[in-house]
Amino acid sequence: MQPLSALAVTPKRPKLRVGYLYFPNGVAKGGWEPEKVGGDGELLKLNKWMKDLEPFKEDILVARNIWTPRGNGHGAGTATWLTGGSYSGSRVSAGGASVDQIIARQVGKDTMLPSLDMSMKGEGYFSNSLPRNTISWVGEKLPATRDTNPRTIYDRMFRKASDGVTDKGVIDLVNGQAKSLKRRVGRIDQQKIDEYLESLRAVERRMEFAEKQADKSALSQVKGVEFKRPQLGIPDSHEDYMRTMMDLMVLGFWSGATRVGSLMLDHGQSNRYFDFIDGVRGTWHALSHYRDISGKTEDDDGVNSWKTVSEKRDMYNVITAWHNRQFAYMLGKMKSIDEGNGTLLENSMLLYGSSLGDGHAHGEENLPVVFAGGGGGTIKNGRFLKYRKNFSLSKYHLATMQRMGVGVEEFADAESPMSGLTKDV
Amino acid sequence: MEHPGSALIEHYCFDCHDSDTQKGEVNLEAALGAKPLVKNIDLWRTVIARVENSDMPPKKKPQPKPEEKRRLLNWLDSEINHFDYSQVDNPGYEPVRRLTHIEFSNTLRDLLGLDLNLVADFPIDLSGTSGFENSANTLFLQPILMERYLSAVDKAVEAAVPLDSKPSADSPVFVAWPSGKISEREAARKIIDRFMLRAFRRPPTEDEAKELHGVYARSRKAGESFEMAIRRALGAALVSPAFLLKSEIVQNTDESYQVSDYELACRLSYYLWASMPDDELFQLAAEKRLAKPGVLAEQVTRMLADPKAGTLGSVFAAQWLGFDALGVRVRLDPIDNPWCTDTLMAAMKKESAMVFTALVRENRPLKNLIDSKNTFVNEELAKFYKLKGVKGTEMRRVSHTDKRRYGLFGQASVLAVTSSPHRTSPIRRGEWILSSLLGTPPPPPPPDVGELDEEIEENRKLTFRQKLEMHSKDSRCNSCHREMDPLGFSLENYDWFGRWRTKSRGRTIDAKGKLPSGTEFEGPVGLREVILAEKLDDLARQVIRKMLSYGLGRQLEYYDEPAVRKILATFKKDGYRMQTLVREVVKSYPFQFRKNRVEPDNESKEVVKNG
Repeated sequence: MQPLSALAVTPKRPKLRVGYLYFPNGVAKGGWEPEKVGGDGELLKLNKWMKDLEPFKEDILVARNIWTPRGNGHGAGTATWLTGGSYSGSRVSAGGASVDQIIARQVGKDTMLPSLDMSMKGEGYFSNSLPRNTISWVGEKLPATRDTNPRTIYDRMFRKASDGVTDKGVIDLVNGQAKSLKRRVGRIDQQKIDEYLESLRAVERRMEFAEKQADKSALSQVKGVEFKRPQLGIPDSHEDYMRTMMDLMVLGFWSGATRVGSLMLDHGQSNRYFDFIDGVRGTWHALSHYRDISGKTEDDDGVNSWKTVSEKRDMYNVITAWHNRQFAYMLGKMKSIDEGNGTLLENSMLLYGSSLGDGHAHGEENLPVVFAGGGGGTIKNGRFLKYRKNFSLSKYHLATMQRMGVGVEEFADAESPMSGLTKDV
Repeated sequence: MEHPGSALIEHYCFDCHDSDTQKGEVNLEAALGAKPLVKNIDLWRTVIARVENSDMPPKKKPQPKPEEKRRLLNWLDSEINHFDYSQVDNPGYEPVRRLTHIEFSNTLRDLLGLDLNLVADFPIDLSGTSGFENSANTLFLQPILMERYLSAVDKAVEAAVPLDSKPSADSPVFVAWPSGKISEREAARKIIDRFMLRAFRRPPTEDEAKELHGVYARSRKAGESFEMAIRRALGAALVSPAFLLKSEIVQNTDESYQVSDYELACRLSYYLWASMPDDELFQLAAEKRLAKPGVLAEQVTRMLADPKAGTLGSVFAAQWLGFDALGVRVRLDPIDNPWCTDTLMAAMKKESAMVFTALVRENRPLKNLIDSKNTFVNEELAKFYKLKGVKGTEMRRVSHTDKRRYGLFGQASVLAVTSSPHRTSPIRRGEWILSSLLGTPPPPPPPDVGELDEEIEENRKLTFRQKLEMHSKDSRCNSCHREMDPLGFSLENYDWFGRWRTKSRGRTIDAKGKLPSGTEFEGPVGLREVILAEKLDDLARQVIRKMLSYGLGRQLEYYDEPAVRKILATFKKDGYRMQTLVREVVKSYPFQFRKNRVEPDNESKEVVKNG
């Protein structure tokens, strides 16, 4: 077996970044298959729903038959997309920490924010459901809280801490109080006090970094990274909102504020309306059950129904295509940033996809995923990974961790990393 | 020695459900090891239902002989449904937790005497399976929230301690002010000492006091003003874990023990007010008199009369019955639905909250939750209910004359949150009645059951009800749906937003309903009557379980059952009057005692419902 060190990126390159972009509700059967693939698996033409990704064919891998053996559904599947574990609602456990948080623990020591955990603000049912709103887990039972507000996220990265009452002295003081409290509460409560201590430490670190980082915002005017401090509140246009959030991740990566980012493009059972797109009716989740056109199931809104399955499926596909377009926007941004030794995209690894396969069948098999970015020159892109059998997403997670320098040989159900990133499958 | 029933489970179930396989997340090996079996009562009840119904083991697997099946079910029945709780002695343990956003906001309000609403930009409190936001196992404190806390604390002390003017005389913070009679130093000492006691909800330790006085002294020494130095000391107190976390101090014993008077004051205030104790409670705690039965009873009476007790309706009942989700859940296009305003939805929520609080304040019997004609409306909501003569935005008490609107089933809030946008859901309403309201949920759907499938789809001419009935004819679906659906159908005359209607999609509504017992009835009036006639005890048991769980800030465990039974006996004897419930929760063993715990409860796997 190849030694792990061989995979580690050479020091001359800028440091590798990892990003995770999650979307719910799966895709229509066939909606992820490329239209034309060469004899050696090269991507020749993507299907019409993925056409916005066409300019990035050489920067991505599309895969078939990726699955998550232990996680399924809108709730449990979302919560375990990045843990490879199984979800227990009664214990509020995802079976393990998630890959992004494990990496953040390893590499986040040197950045202002160990990770940037973001979500588009939810709408409708399940907007406060824990499993549907959580892909990142600091620990098996400790979900990472996610931020939905662009202005706040920007300020966390680029604004100096204000002259508040909480200075270094106060932090030292309450640190001491927490440690003293820890001795007086039950053993089982000590982890809660640790949670407090670690949060405080994170804030303190951020305050230290803030001084240096504040200068970087001035730099964000340079070519390719035009970015202003976002407006207050959530932008009205869903597209503006999503692109702003993507910009923030790009900005975080580029400025060095963080090397790990995740963005939930919606909560795990999104019933958002996409009627701002011409010809789309009904909620996303209702559309994902495209074989039932009556408009009268538990998932429907009672107003919309469809004439044919293909009409409904097309609307569902249009929503998928809309998200693909936003992802293409982000890829374009990352590709336009030259870091001296490769573009930001080449120095990143992105996972874009869903925890459901065919949205109607509701399965955890053949998940729609795109692996993007050059992995610092460690990935052979531009191919369709046509796995014949179910292939666990955990292997991709393991491969990512190893490239980020996390010294592990196994992750969840994966005993070896995904070799398809570098060679034919 | 292991019971033979245990061997049967091993023989017939372990193939798919031991610790290695755990199919469908069900691990019966672990569950069998967790004694007594009532520790996993929900899981075992599902097992009983599956085996009774012959859903499990699956048809293609070896089946138990009828004799074996009977033996297994008898054994589980005695272990689960007839477990002898008299051998259990455990008041449980309230874990350390952060305050919910509502509690944080209320506590700051009472602490500073200012209503600042600083939690609007906090990341939302997510809810898991426990139902209440105050449940310790879903309250996390991550860096993002810590940052929000710090910035809220900044704003709070800025507002509470003005730099260039003397603070208001009724500020609860400024118990002293430097003057000819009292030195700055002395005034600062008084202010900080008092503030610490109230913010920490207990007397500070010597070290804590010394440290905060040190913050003040250092600031003065650095040349900052008196006011600024006070700000810094108060700010440091508000960032302390003693303020941000609700924690109780353990005593070094394996036996159960009574919580301290200060801890009891806190349990009481967060239960009845979702906020910190007030001066009177602190005083009684300092005198170690609060736990005396007479004193405690008096305090409950006093606290219920306080406007802050409105949280029993706006937080407890809202989260129990689900109407807190209204507004988030309903998304309407304001152009097509100009009538559906944010203010209307706010009034709907307020109505249900106020009705519940009034039940408690006026010590009405529980049955009034179901059948009271009294309610609260403002002009907009009155118009919605077609009530005349109500003007203005203020909520006020009115009486319905239309019997169909009496009680909970007539309230728009719960009718809307149990519907889909634009369409009623008899299944969801039925499930809500059985699970949320009565605490008798149907077992989860059998494995691999599809949703309304193509067979139903083909019968497009049938009414919605007929379709659902078809689906309920499938014996595997039927076992639960014959319970849920008829309850929900009895409310079909209320549309998805709670408006009365007689027709749906051109067809006359059939609002006949049926209880699992077979009793037939019609419409909301009929539903009300049968619930009161046949289900009042279930309702009482459920409101006890929910209120105790909310009061304790944790999920109930099997060892809480003796307390639930004891409360139920007194509650029932007293004609289910609501204050008896509130008082019995306060008097209960788990509310006043605790026992140190080493391992978290509920560690064995349970059935997971996939979304």
